Parts: sequence; C-alpha cells; structure tokens
Amino acid sequence: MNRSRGKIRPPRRGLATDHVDFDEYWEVLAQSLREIYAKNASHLSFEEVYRNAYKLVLKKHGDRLYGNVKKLVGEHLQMVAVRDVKPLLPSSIVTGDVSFGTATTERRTVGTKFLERLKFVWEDHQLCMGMMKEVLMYMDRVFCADRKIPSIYVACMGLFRDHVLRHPEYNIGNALNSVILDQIKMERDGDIINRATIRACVYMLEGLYETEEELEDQKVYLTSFEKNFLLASEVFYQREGERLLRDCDATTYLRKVDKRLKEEYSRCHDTLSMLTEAKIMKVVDQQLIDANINDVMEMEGSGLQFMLDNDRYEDLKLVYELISRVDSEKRSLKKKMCARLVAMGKEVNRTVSTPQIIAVSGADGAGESSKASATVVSEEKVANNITLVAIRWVDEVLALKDKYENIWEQSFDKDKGIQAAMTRAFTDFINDFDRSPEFISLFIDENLRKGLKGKTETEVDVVLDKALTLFRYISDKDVFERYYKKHLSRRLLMNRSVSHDAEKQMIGKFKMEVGFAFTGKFEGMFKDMNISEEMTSEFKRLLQESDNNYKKGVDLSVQILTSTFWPVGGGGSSDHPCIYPPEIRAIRDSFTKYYLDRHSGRKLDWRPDMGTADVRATFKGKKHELNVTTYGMVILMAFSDLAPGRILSFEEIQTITSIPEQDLVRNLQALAVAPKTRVLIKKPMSRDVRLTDVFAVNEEFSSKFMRIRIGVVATNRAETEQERRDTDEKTERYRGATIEAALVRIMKQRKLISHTELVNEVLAQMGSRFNPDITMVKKRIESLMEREYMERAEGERQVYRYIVSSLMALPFHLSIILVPKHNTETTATIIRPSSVPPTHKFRYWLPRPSPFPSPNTMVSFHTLHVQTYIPSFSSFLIQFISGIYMAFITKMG
Amino acid sequence: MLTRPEDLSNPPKTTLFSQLLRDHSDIRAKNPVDESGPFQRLCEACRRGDLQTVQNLIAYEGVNLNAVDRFDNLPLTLASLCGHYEVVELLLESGAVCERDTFQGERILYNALNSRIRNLLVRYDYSKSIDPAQPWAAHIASLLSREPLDTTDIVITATTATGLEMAFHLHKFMLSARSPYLRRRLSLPYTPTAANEHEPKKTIRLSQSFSPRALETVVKHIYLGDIFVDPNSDEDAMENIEKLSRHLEIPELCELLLADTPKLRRQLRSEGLKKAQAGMEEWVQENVLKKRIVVRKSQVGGIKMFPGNDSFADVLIRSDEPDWHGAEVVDAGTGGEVEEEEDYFTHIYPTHKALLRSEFFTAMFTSPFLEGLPTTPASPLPIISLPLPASTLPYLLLHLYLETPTPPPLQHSLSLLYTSDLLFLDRLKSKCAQVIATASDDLPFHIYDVIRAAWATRVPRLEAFGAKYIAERLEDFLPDPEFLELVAESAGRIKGRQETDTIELVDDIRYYLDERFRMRVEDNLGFCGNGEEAAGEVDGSLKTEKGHVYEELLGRIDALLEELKLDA
Repeated sequence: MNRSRGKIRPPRRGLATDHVDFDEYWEVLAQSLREIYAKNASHLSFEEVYRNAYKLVLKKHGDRLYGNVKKLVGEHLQMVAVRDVKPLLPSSIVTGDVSFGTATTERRTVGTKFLERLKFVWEDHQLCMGMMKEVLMYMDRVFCADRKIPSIYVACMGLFRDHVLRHPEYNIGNALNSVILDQIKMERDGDIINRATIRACVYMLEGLYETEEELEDQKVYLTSFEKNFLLASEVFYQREGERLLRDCDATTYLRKVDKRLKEEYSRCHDTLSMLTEAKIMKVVDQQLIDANINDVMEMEGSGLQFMLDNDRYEDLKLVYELISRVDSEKRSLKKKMCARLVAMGKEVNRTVSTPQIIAVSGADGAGESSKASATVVSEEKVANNITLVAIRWVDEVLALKDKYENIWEQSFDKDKGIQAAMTRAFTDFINDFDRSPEFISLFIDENLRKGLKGKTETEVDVVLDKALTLFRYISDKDVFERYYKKHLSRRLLMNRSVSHDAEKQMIGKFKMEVGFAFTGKFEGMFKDMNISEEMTSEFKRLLQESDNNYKKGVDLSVQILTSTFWPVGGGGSSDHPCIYPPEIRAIRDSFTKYYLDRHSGRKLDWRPDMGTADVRATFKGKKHELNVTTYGMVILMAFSDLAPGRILSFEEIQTITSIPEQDLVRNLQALAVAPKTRVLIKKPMSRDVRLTDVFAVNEEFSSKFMRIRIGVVATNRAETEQERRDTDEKTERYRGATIEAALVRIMKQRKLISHTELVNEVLAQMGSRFNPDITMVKKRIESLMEREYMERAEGERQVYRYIVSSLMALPFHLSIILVPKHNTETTATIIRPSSVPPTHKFRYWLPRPSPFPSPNTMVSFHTLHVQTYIPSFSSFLIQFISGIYMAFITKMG
Repeated sequence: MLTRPEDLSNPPKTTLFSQLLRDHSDIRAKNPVDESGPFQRLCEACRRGDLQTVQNLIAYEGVNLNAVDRFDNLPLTLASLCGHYEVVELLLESGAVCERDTFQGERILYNALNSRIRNLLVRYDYSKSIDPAQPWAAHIASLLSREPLDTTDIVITATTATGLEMAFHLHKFMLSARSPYLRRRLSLPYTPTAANEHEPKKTIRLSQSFSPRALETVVKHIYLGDIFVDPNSDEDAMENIEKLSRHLEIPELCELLLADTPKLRRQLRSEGLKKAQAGMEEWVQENVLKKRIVVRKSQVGGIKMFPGNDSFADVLIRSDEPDWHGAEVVDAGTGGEVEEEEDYFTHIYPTHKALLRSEFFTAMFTSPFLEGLPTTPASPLPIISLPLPASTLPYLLLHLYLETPTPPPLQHSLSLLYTSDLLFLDRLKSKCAQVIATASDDLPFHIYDVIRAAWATRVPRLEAFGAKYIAERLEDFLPDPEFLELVAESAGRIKGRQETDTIELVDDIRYYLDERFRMRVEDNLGFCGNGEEAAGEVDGSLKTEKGHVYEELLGRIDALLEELKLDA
C-alpha cells in the first residue's frame, strides 16, 4: 500500500477496497428490521441502519440484501397470517356457508371483527414497510433502479397479497370478499354496518396489485373483489326489480329506484371505491330501469298516462331522469308520451266534430221537407255554431299545449328531443283534423272582431301568439291562407276589425313565421283599403267641384279590390246582376268614368252582393235610418216610388232588380221576416220566403232606435258544407298549379332526374306551404309529360328528362310583375291556349287584364315573380310581349 | 339527482404571500398589450432598424419595452427578426427581457436573423435554470411553507390595524444570517420564563407600527423570495416596508423595491442573491464551521449540545471516517498500520435541519426513527455521523448551506463523491466528478479508487477518465497485480458474462490507447496539411517505432486477459 509518491498514490482506506462481510452486516440490519416490526424504531438510529444497507449495496450485495429483506418480510407476513388473522376467520365462511345458519347479528359481529383485524394487519404492514423503504432508500435508488426490478416497497406489497390474502391454507382473500359482500347485502336489506372498516379493507385491496408493475387496471380490488360484487349486485337487483314490479305502483317504484341509486352512489363513496361507481350504476340502471321501465310506465292507474293526465310533475321528472340514465334519446318515454298526447288531441277533435255532424245532418233532415231557403237558414245557423266550436277546439288544443308545455318545463328539463317529439305529436293530430286551418283562422277572426276589445297590447300579443303556435303546426298552410284571406276580407269590408294595429301585428307574425310570399296578399288587401279611402274622398271632392248640381242624396264610398288579393269569387258583372235605381246608376257611372280615366286598361266590376247602403225612411212620422245591404237597398228603392199599400210579388221584385234568386231570398228574409227589422210585410206570413210570396211596405213598423241595422243573416262565419267543397276544390286547383311550377323548376335545373328524387324534391319544396299528395304529384307529372314538358328517358323507366325547347332559353317561364307608377301590379302571365299544339314551342307573355280568351283556354301558367320598379322597362316588356302575342295571333289566325 | 359532494379532502391552500404580493409570473402581466402611439412608433422603428428613433423613444417617451403590439410582438422580437444588431443591443441594454424557457423568450431567440444577434440575446439572457444560486434560493424560500419538515424555531407576530395578529414561523439562523439587527437581538441570552416555558418556540411580537404586510415582504426577502411591490401602489405600505427594512438593517430591500425598471430589478435581485450568498457564507463560517468541536471518536458520546446554542443549531453532524490527511501524517511518523487506528479525531458541527438539503435528511428527520423524534428544549441535540473524513465535511456543509459555485478541492472530491452519492446530492456529485476528471496528472489518490468510485457511484465520465489515465501510462500499470484485479472486477460487473462479452475497462483502455498514439502522431504531423494525407501517414507511422510500442502494449493486454482466462 505504501507506494512511493508519484503518479500512483496510496488508495484511501475505507470505502473502496475493504471487504464487507455480508452476514455480519445483514445480521445487524435484520435485527433492526425486526425492531421496526416490534415498534422499537425510536431506539434505532436511522443513519446507522441506512448506512448498513448502503454499504451492502455499495459492496455489490444488493441482490442478497433485496432477497433477504423479502424473505424476512415474507416470513413475518406468514406468521401474521397464522397468528393474527386466522383465528378470526369467520367459521361460516371457511365452511363456505355464508347466508344460512348463523344469525345476521352474529355474522355481522364476526365479520366486522375479522375486517378490523385485517385492517389492523394491513395498516401495520404499511407502516413498517414505509419505514423500511426509507432506510433502504439507497437500495431502491441504486440497486433496484439499476436492475429494473420493483422497489422493495412494491415487492413487499406483493408479498402481503401472496402471504396474507392468498394464504395457501386459509383463503383469507375469499373470506374477505364474502364478508364484505355479506355486509353490503345486510346494508341493502336495511341493517347498519361498519362502513369505515370495510372502507379500510377496500383501501387495502386498492393498494394491492396483481403484478409488481402496479398497472392501474390490475388492482386486486378490481381483479378479485369488484367482479364478485357486481355479480352479486346484479342478482340482488334483478330480484329487487321483480319484487318491486309486483308490489308497487309506478310512483313507489320510481322512488325506490332513485333511492337505490343514491344508496349505491354513497356506498361507492363511503364504503367501497369510486372506481366501482360507474359500473354498479350500470348494474342498477340495467336491472331496475332498463329492464322494467316500460312495464312501470304502462302500469294501470299509476303509470305514465296517469302521471301525464294528473300533472304529476315530480313523478314525471323522476321518469325522465331515470330514463335518461339508460337512454339518452329517451325513446320509450317519447313514444308513450306522444301516443298519449295524440290520443288526447284526437279526443278533442272528436268531441268538437261530433255535435257539428249532428247539427248538419239535422239540418239536412229538415231541408228535405222544406225548400232550399230553409236549408240556407239552418246551414247558416250551423255556421254560427261552428265558430263557437272552432273557438272551443282552439281553446282545448291550447290548453293541451299549455299542459304539456308545463310538464316539459317542470319535469323534462326542457329536453330538446322531447320538445321535438311533442311538436310532432301536435302536428300529427292537428293535421289529422281536416278543419284545423279553418278553425284556427276562425279563432283569430273571432278575436280580432270581438275578443280583443279593451285588451292591452301585451294581452293582444299573447292571444295572437297562441294562434301563431297553432298555426305553426298546420302543414297545409295554403288552406289556412285561403281561410284567413276570406275572414280578413270580411273583416275589412264590413269594417268589423277591432284594431288595425292588431291585424298588422298578426300579419307581421305570419311574415316572420313563413315569409313574404305568404302575407303578400294580406298586405295587398290593406293597401287596397287605403287606396280606396283616398279615392273615395278624392272622387267626392271632384264631384263637388265639377258639378254644382251635385245631389246630396247619394253618398258613395267605394272599396276597390284587386281581384287577385281578395277572395271575391267570380269574374264578370254577369255573376252579380243588379239593376240599380237611376240615382245610384248615375253615381256609379260617374265613378266608373273617374276611375277608368285614371287607370286605363282596367276593368271595374261592381259587387252589389258585398256592399251596404244607408237608406232614410219615415214610418209613422218617425224618421229612421236603415242600414241594409246593397241588394236590400235596391229592393227598398223598388218600393219607395210605389203608392202606399201597393204590393209587389217575389217575381216582380226579381224582374225590377234582377237580383239572383238566392240573394233575393236572403235579403227579403232580412227585410220581411226578421221580427225587429220587418220593414216589409210578407204574405202569407211565414218564416220562409217562397217564390209565390207577395210583399208590401210595413206601414206599422216602429222601432225605438233611430238607426236600424238590417243585416242579412251573417255569412261571415264558418263555411257551410257547400262553401267548403268550393274551397277544397280551389285549393286543389291551386296546388296542382304550384306543384307543376315546382316540377318544371326542378326539371329545368336537373334535366335528368329519377322519379323518387323528383317527388322528394317537390315534397321538400312544398313543405312550407302544404303537404302535397303523392298521387297528385304523379298526376301532375303525367300531365306535364302529356304536354311534352318532360319525357321518360329512354331505357330507364323511372327517370325523366326535361324537354328543352328552342325558345326555352328565353326566361319565358318567368312571369313578371310590373309595377307601374300608380303602384298597382300588373301580372304578365305565360299562357298557352289549348289550341296551340304542345309541340309548338311558344309561350306567350301578355298583359293583364287582357283581351285574351276566357280562362278556360288557359291550360297552365307559371308564376315566378320578378319585380321591376323601372316603369319604362315594364312598359317595354308589355310591348314586347304584346308584340309576340300579336305575332302569334296572326300566325294562328 | 345525484350530485357529487364537494371534494373536501383537498382544501385549497391559502398562502399568505399570494394574497398580498402580486405574483409576477403571469405572462399577460409581464407583456401587456400596448397600443399607444409611442409604442407603435417604437415597433416600427425596431422593424426598420431606426436606432435614433428607438433611442429617443426610450429616453424621452419612456415606452414599456416589454409590452407587445396587437400581433403579440415584442420590440425585441421585431428587432431581432429584422436583424438590427444595434437596436437589439440597445433594447437589451435598456431593459428589454429575453428569457429562455419562456414563450416570448424562445420566440425571440428562434426568430433571431443571425447567430450574432442570437449570441447577443443569449448573453443577456437571465434564466433561472442557469443561475446556480437559484435552487438554493428556492430551497430557502420553500422553508416558509414548513413542508414536509417544520424546522422553524421562532415566531414573529405582527398586528394588523384591525387587531388581527398574524404569526410568521421563522428560523433564528436565517434571521440572524440576514439581518444584523436580528443577529444582535437573538444573540442575547435566552432565558425561558414561566410564561413561555411550554412554548417550544420563542415568540417575538413586532411593534404595532409595522404592518403584517411589511413584515411579510421583509420575511419574503429574508428568505430570498422574489418580491415585487408596485412602487405606485400604496405609499403607506411602501413607507412601512422601508421603515421595517431599515429597522432590521436590510437596506438593499428598499433599493430593490424602488427599482423601477425591470432590468434594474433583475440586476439588483441577482446581486442581492450573490450578496446573500456571501453573507450566508460568512455566517456559516462564523457560526457553523468555526463552532466545530474536535474530539476523539471514543469521546463522542460525551458531547452534549442543547437547542438555544448561539448558532441556533438543531442537529449535530460529525465526521465518521478517519482523515486520510491525518493518516498520512501519522503514516509518516509511524510508518504504516493506519487502518488499525480506531480512535481517530472526529469533528462535530452544529448544523440546521432546515439547510441539510437532501432527501436523505428529509427522510431521516420525518421518520419515526431516533433522529426523527421530536426534540424538547431540554434534550441534547442528536448527533448524526456521516461517513467522510473530518477535513472533507466542511465542503459538504458549504455545499448544503450555500450551493457554492466553487468546486471542492481535488483532494476532497473523491470522498465527497461517495458522500454525495449516499445523500443523493446530484449537483455536488457532478461537481466532484468534474473536478476529478479535469484534474492534472498529479492525482492525490490512486486511479484504481477513482475507477472503483466511478463504478460504485455510477459516473461514466469518471470511468472514461480512469481508462484514459491508465491508457496513457499503461506501461506502469501492466505489471501491477492490482491492475489485474481491477480488470477482473470490471469483467465481473457484467452479470452472466458470456465468453465473448467485452470488458468495459479493457475496451476503454484500448480506445484511449489508440487515441494516445494517434494523437501523438497527429501532433507530429501537424504541419502536413490536409487530413487525408495525415490519415495515411498515421497508418504508416503506426508501423514506426511508436507503432511498435502500441502493438506491444496491445499484446500485453491480451496476455493479461489470457492470464485471467478472459476473452475480450
């Protein structure tokens, strides 16, 4: 050692070379470890123990040290298993006899003692290992890391698993599982158990792993305990589900399930492990909810129907929550709820339609014996009834909606899916009822005429919104449009509307909902009203200025209706013949001249069936002002020049006035039959007006009112059967045209398209307006093929091809709304007279009103609106179109 | 329906400091968006490299150099990206920050147009990971949390205006080391009175005139925390802090607080840290190293020290190895048999648990073993022996207390290497390895010990060093029987060794042997010009005289292996 100083120095003594006797050091170390087990650590010097281990590792005795420590710990654990744990093994479990024999209390005591002992042993092991780990830190850091073997702590945890839990003789692990399961069963059955002890043992299982790699999914808890637990729980809850289904009503069942869920949740928190939470919840979900919820919902007298009918918000909420756990779509709940909703809706439809049918049939029965006039009366009565029925229907539907909306809000957490299902259900039953568009329109009509009187703006808004919600459900929006137009026109013409603001508001709402196309005509109606007012006053002014002899006697107010906006049937004046008294005729002609001067090329059609007149009359020296229909006025005027007591027969009146028979009957009825407004006397006196009756002025008429309104029995209410058929027919015609337009639009765009695609496309385009009937679509396709707009593609049966004509390149399928300076619209419509063979590729434009043949020569027309505000351009177009038209005429001629 | 209860197992930690002092680590706070006119002009000037404008803006407009424009660009980023060296320099000089390991900092570096600018940026970089004092400062700052080991021995309380008393648990030695006033105050003899007999810690109540906030700031400073108080925030508070720092005779705190530019602050903090380190070193020299007790090993049991000693120690550390310097002296006198002497002198130092910065000590003091038992004022301090020579122990303590950047002397490095391995002191370990591996030829210990130490403490760098050392003087070692032993040991290090497996040591020696001759050949051929020629020459020259020596040495290694019945 003692070499000369130079390059090589003497090695220092101590660390590097001197020999370390393993056994000597190990003996000291082992003694220290035993002291740790004996709880004498406080007498040991950390530094000394540590340094012993350090030296052994440094001197390459790491593996022996590691092995020896493991052996020492292993032996200790074996001893512990036998000495401490085994005596407390519950005998019933050792014999495999768990659930029978011993009484619950005894089992619980024995089990708890066993668990407590195990807990103690485990905690002691952990404590001691914690200390050993620290003094053997150098071995862990250097030797174990170098060899890539588990640290001594991990290794000894594995020893605990092998030597205690899986003791070869006493299956302590199994016993542990059984005891815990047994205790949980007791708790589920309502006993109280020591949760903390179980928790401690679960901690132990969670702290142990199957392998030394300590993989998270290899916890002994998961591999040996949880599986058994879930299995036992499944069995338990299956039985529980059956029992509850047998013994409880729906509410109790739901509450029990909810309670169980909460219990399991808290069990995972306080007794077992959070790792199990999701899994045990799934077991409960499956066994108690998924398996039985349909049965529960269908329970007689307490199931879903009961809850819905009785607004059991709490219970419904529970149903919703529980179903949400197993099915995020909540399909069964939706299905059952909607079924109930539709059933209730249909019930409303049924109760509403039944009395009406009776009324109608009753009227028909009466009508058989009497003449046509009687039918008119009873039908009108029915119509009045129908308004009430409509309001009742709307109210009931709204009530139903409110009810379900409440349930949805309070119980279903405003679930979007359920809302959609509810909407579907409402749509279903509302559209199932063919009178719903009419009823809704009537409801609005009623409210705008009377219902809104004295209500504040917000209240009005609420009512209108209600109407609108129902409107949304209607799929045949075009039908509704027709009804609404009709009702609106009545309100406007008869000045029955309570508030123009409310009307505008309503139209604004429709516009928001379905767009401009829907409300354009309504707005046009309002515009017409305004223009008429202006024109009336201007006409009056002009009349006064120009004619000093202006007769004060007749005062004319006109309402000029653009025929396309207003649901005023019929075209020419021939439909509404009426011979006016000369005074009236004069002023009529005067106005006609005035108007046509201003708007050349237009045609005025006077509608005596829609107007009213005020007539002054003197009865028994008392002056009265009679407010009658235009026809009524004409009739009265016929009497005014007669000598007192002179009578006129029905036929005479008809000859004088040439009023159509039906209108005459109705008007005479109002004048001569209605008791309070009987200004004429009829002979013979009866309720009905017959063609053979004769009439005279009722000299005896008296009334305490100065102004008397003699209304023809109202026609403003719901339609009669006849009218309805007319409406339907009109609707069909209109729809046919719309579908054709859509078909051509699509074909033009796609050129080649399969049948199904075409139909689907049409359905999609029409969806916002109405639900087209498929057969109708098919018919239209046939018709278009007939007219050679399209053809079947060769070789492919279900594919159509668009026939491109040479002139098709021109935008001839557009109709152009020309807006001349006075702001009324002129519609140019493409028409093709039937005499033109389809192969003829001309489509013509022409201004309207046109001198063109009557409508029956028009086979089809397409409307697509292009608006231009340049007057010169529009007049150019008109000329252009007329030019082609003329060319055509010459060619055809 | 089922709601998870609030997780109460982990209550949020409320730390006093976070509430009162603004933590400045927030990126947003560091680099606020500035859309003012001058700043935009600055950015524009940085893009264009307009040095004059930048200068003017900094001098007269006082723009914030560490703000970002709305595209998140710092002026420094722009200047560095656009390659304006002078502008970058000016910005850095004026206090623009480019810190590595921050998003913006890395972005600036990465975007630098050329390496000249990059180097400039790196030179100005102030980074926590590079500052050697930082881990030390962080450790001391962490003492305040009293986790995992509470080593405080004094409580100072301050009273808020509302009469709320706030207690700060502190260390006497820290206070004494950092505040001259407190050093004087604490050096007064401490006599337990009846009132505080039961209190394990002494309690000092601060005068009402100092707010807890001021005390907190000062405490944070004493514990080397990075403090920042907005100078404009609160005049009263500032004044209070200033008063207290004057009272405690810590003048640099005021300076630090008054520093208004980030650059100045960083500079002051860096200096302050150095000063603190120096001050601490002085204190340690005075109160720890000089307070050592030298006794024979047999008399160690008789040493008793009590808490409340004037260095406020709470644990004693003694050397537990004979000093080999001493041994040498004895060796010279008696001529051998040093190892036999059991009753050597050992040194005992009063130390502080708080600063024994090692997992080893933490485990020890928190364990239920003897050392971890709670001490009472009446019981003597525990003595912990560490296996290293008395003369080496101070260097360990200096490292623990101060993290001194200076490496330990070479002669102590080997012992310290073992000790640092034992105590898991990685930084010290690499420092020791560095010292040994860069030593000149004259080693104060045997190279075999270095190699064995390298094996034992797993320092490959030293293994290589040892192999190189031996290769360079292989002729001297080959006849040494102990060298044979060493080779055998190296072979044994591979477990389950196959016949043809290599012996690391021999491989390394061969490698360095090759290098040794090649190096010399290259040295000789230094004039020959291009490398290829030189390589050819090397091969040629190997056949020359030196080549013969090389061949011979290789042959002797093979012979040696054969003798050991090893094949490699």
